[in-house]
Amino acid sequence: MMTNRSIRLVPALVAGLILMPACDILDVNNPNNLTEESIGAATAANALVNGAVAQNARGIATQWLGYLIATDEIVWIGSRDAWGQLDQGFVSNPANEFTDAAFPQVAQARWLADLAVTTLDGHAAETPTNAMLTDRARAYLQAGIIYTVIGETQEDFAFSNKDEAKPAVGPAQMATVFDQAISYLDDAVTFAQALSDDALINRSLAMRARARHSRAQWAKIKPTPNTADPLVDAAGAVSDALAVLARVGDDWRYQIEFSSSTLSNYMASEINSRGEQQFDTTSVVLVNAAAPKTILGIKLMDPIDDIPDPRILSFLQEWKGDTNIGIAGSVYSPLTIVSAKHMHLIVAEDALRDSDMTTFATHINAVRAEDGLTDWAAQIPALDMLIYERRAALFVTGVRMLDMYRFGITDPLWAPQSDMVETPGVLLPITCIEKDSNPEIPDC
Amino acid sequence: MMRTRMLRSTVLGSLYLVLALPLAAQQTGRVQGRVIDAATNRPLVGVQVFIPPTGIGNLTDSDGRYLLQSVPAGTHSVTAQRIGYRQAVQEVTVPAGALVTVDLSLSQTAIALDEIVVTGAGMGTERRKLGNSIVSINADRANTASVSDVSQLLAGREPGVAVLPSGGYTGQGARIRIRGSSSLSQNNEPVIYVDGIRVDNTAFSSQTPQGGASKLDDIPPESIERIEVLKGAAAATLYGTEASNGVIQIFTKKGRAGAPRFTVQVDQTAIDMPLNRVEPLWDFAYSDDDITRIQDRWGLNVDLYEPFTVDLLPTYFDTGHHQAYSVSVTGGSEFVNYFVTGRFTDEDGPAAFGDLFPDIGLEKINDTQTRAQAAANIVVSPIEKVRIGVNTMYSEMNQTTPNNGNNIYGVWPNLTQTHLRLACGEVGPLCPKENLYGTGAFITANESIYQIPETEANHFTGSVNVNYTPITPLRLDGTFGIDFVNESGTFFRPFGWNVNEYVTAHVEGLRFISEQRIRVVTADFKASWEARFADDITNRLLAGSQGFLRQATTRNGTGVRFPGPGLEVAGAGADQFIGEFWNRNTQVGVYLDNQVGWRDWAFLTAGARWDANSAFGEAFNTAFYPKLNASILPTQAFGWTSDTFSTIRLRAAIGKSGLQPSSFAKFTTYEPQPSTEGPGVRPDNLGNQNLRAEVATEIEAGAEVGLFNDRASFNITYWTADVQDAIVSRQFAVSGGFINRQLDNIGELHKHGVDLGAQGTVYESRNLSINLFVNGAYLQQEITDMGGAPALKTGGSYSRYRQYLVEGFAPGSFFGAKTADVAIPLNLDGSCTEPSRDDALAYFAVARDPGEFKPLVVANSGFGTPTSGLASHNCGEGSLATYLGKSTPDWQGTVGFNLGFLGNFEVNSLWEFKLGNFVSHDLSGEFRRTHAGIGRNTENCVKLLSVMRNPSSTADARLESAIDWANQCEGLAPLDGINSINPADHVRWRELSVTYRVPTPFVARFGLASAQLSVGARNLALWVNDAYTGMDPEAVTNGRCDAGLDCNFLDNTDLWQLPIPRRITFSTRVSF
Repeated sequence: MMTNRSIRLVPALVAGLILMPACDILDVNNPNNLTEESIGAATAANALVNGAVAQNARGIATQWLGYLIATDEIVWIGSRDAWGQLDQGFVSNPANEFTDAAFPQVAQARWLADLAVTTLDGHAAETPTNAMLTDRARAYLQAGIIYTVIGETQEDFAFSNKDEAKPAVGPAQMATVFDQAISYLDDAVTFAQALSDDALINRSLAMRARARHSRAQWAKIKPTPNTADPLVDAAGAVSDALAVLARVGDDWRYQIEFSSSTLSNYMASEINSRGEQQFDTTSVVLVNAAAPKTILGIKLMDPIDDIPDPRILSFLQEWKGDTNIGIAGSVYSPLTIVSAKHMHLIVAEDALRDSDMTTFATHINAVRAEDGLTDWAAQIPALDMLIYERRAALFVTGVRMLDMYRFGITDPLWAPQSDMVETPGVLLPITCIEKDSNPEIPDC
Repeated sequence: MMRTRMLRSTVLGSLYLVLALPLAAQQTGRVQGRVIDAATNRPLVGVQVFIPPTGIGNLTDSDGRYLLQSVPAGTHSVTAQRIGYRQAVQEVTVPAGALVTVDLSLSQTAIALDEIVVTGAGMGTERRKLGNSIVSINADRANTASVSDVSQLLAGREPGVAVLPSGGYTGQGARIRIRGSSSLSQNNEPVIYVDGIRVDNTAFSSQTPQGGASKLDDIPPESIERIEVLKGAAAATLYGTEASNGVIQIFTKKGRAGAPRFTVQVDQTAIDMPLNRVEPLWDFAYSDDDITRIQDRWGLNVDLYEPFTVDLLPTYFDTGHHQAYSVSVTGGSEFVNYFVTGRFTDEDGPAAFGDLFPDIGLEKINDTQTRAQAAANIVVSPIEKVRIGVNTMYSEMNQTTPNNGNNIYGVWPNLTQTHLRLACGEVGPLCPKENLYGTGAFITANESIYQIPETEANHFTGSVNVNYTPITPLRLDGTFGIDFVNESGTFFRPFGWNVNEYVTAHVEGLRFISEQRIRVVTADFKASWEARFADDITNRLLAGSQGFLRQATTRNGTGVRFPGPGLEVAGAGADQFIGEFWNRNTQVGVYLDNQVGWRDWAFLTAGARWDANSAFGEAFNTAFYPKLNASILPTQAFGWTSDTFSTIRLRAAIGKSGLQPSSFAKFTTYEPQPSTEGPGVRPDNLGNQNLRAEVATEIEAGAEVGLFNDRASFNITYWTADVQDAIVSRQFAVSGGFINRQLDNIGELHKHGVDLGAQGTVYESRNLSINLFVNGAYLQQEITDMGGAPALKTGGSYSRYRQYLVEGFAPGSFFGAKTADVAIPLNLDGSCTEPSRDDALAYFAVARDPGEFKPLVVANSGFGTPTSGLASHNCGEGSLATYLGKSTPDWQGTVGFNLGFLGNFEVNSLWEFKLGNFVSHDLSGEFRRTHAGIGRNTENCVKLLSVMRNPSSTADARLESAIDWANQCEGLAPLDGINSINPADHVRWRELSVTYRVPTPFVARFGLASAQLSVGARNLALWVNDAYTGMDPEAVTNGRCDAGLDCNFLDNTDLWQLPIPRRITFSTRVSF
């Protein structure tokens, strides 16, 4: 016969038996991801920078798609009408689902690049190995890239840290974003030169040229575009561009790369695979309106040779991953961020601004010669030549919106009441996902 | 040395048992008999016949017969009870070695307070002793022709238990919500137990996102004896963390002593798509080229701007076919009883999309599901005080569903989101690509049928239960079980599937494969002690502990770009991707529960549970859930006798239960993200070590009233529940780098409601009985606190989904644009003011397309303060300016009847209703009415459009059409939701069955014990609010899903689902 005392012990014993091993089984780790502690380790430094490279790629591809649809480089042909809003020039809507989806990717790229810079600074001071110093230079380059793109594409931005929200810098202060980009690139150049790493030197110098040139362009369009005097004064950009050109051939490019083993290019996936967008069917590519996903030919005609522009053809062949531009195409198409052509055009613009037509012609024709086009010899006005060359040679490199604003170019798809018509110079907004979650910024 | 001693003890013990069993048998006898309905003399199947408190019991078979073995010699009370009948008790003296016959007849009762329930009480307890509501559902309906799975068995049976279908594809699983939602972010499905062990009830990770089946339906319905449902926190406290959504416990059938008894059932079902629920396709010619194409493709001669239709919908479907075959056998001896069942079902749904196109050697998609199911239960009673039960269940399922849902590559959208004028068959100048149904973008319907999504799953559940009664008042019970699901999914696009060279995705092929393994281990030990103090006071103490370990492993791979046709393996792809995810959650808990009874009419129960869970943050180790409930029977207390109010019970309960955060949400993590420069990482989860369970506190009070000598009953329960520490999937500023939402215990959710039920026998005689029932549940929910977090929108940035979590509103409420209630609701000049009629006529002096102007709206779908730059579209004040309604009805319930006549015929019918203050988003229709690229093909909108675009129309006609367009057709960005979120009150004729039981003497001639023939129907008719514009208010885009904002609250939004089909089933069931 069981006693009352022993009966009372039963549940306690059962509970104890269960809970004793529970101490261990309740300690469940997450093997799928890295922890905060792991990220701070020196062994993770390279991965941190690589992550910044990847997130820059994702952020820029995502951001550029909405940005370029608003220009005359890409048009909407699919089903998701918020792309159509951008196509019509309504870029300021913070609730546009696509700019709202792009903003976090850019924001994360910025934060991750800053984290890489801070972390690599610490590691480089403690263990200044060649590999660590190289990663530090790469981190600064990536930070310079993403800050430049933010400056080129965003009307405003915020720089929070984890759950510590920060106010927006304000549209008028966005030049400071370029300043920060240039500062990062200054260090990237310095570190790369110390390492004698030619590839890093070329990339950092070229990006600094672009950042300095874009900062000058930004000053041309803010607060309103100065279309009467669109050419920028960017001496630093010119010296960087010349330094790059002295080091590389005219076919040199620095590209953001994608691959099946890393990540796909969102813009290429949307255009080549889904078929939601197409390159501008009004002025760039030829399509059948009943099946606009298939490119039939090149519409953009070189103003001197009066032939379909070979730069567009080359771009599309690379974009599709095939010489036949009528196919669906790759989802890993690279994006060019800077190139020798870009450098030439920075120098040419500066020369044109200084009325140095010899230098202008030298650099314009260096660009044209690369694709076998006839030299410019004043067949058309020099400014028109510059504008055209920037369109054709820098196609889908993220510079078109600033050019359209400062040169007074409008897209025929822009609605008369659109932001881009009514408030030219306006760039992409801080979107609702940030506005609604950041207590320092008014809600949507 | 110790091992040797243990081995010797075990051998000797076993020998003792073997030798002792025959001796024990000589001290016992057997009881047999038949149980019938007292009014109709119909044999009653599934009646529990038992001898309390010995634990000896059995169920009646299809002829109402039972056999009790190993009954100790002596006098006993043979007790019979069945849901819906008054308990019957008969004294019997059983001599040693004798077989005694005890026949029993049961009278129907509308109130069943003596029914033994288990769930929530820990041990078997009479319902009248519990202060909380508990539902018991008899599984008999599975024997009729109108029910073919467990979800259907639950649907419409009890107030507050909502079974929500997903749509009309074969095998689409249903979601279950009990008393609304208990979580803003976590899974809102109730936890499922089968015979005491937890089974996995997460959604299949189906490759057809909205077509997935429910794991609940893996359980063969023939194996189920009854289902108990705990509706909320007050009742489910002893289930602790994860129980605040309620608990469903399924009890499977156990064997019946005696010779093997076989039951065979064959069902044949015809499935019909209700095409009257789908708007026909319309279009008109915009150009001469269109006229030519229309002539060539459809053989119609039309003029420019002349609306026309082609009756295509009937060609998309045929009559689907479902077949089910099941065999069960039960039997046993004095010491061992068994029940074994096997079932095979096969369904080919009515969607016949593949038949529209010729065979070209590529596999075409079907709408099919095949299931093979088996269950085997064995109960062994080796010695008098020990009972060992072994329960197993196995299911194998294969399902293919056309690519569907919110998916540009879906088949159904590409057959309905089309322009008839663009359809063409022969490639030429007017037909750049073959496009037989006139798709406007992305993919032709023909190409879409070569995508093959397929899911295969194996599901095993096994448990061992040992029940030991060392002394009469003490019972020890231990259960150990495992539930294992192995799911394989594939999605295949063959090389060259772009047969019309229209689609541009994966034209060289793609194959995605995934394997998911989920294992849930349950260990449950409990002890109960029952005592009586003096004559008036009873006490039952229960203590126990539970442990759960859930582990899920997912591995997947994708191969893209095959080198040539014929390859169907992922490894053949030039580009290959792999993924792997591992998840584990452990929980341990202990509970204590004490019930005190006074004179059998007053009962007070107090209890509590403590849980520890691996998902809790470091700051919170355990969760504590107390409960208290009381039950009083005034009619017994005061000896009240009244024919009118024959039984009255009052009850009240308060209790807490919880819901855990997801397993790894507490950690700050970085996810792998390689770049072309090497392996890398990026931020993933912000982390929160303060995470803890969200806790629901529920109070309920109710009464059950038996009327007219319990021939009728009425029950009412008022309940109110508050979820504190509600876990909100909070978005922190994305500029901080962590862009994924982070779980945070910052919310509060309040809900309350009333559950009502009434049933009764309105007439009963030997040849006719009529039973009516009605139940309804009233539900109101409100998010009372979001902890300062911003409103959360379903669908992320996808602006077309308009359901939000907003403080002060019901979860999943709709917000969006609404047309201004003015004479000319048009914003023609961007001024956001109504134009004068003269100005409007001047505007419409020329032909116009709706893309050129926008309606005047009182609020829009997401812009901020109006600016001149946005003026053409923005006349509102932000995304949350206009509340358009909630997604859950005020009232949901069932009306039905059961009719028995001529002794052998039975008719059952059931209507389900959802009524009052709820809306549904007809997003499919919004596309079809509005979208210039892939829509504008409904009759009304096509006709309005043709007038506006026709240069021959008058300005007056264009203006009137534009006004109607603004009020009826306009939609999508930037005015998402406008004209498409409308009241969706509806009544559905859910079930009808007619059953004929062949007289026993007749079937006996063929060696059968029983036979029945049934004809049943489901979803026969739908009556819906006139304002509703969609196909079917029960077809929703999120399908059978798990947790998260979209799954929980993207409810009542339809995007490219199919309406729910009618099903007519012929069923034959025989026993021998």
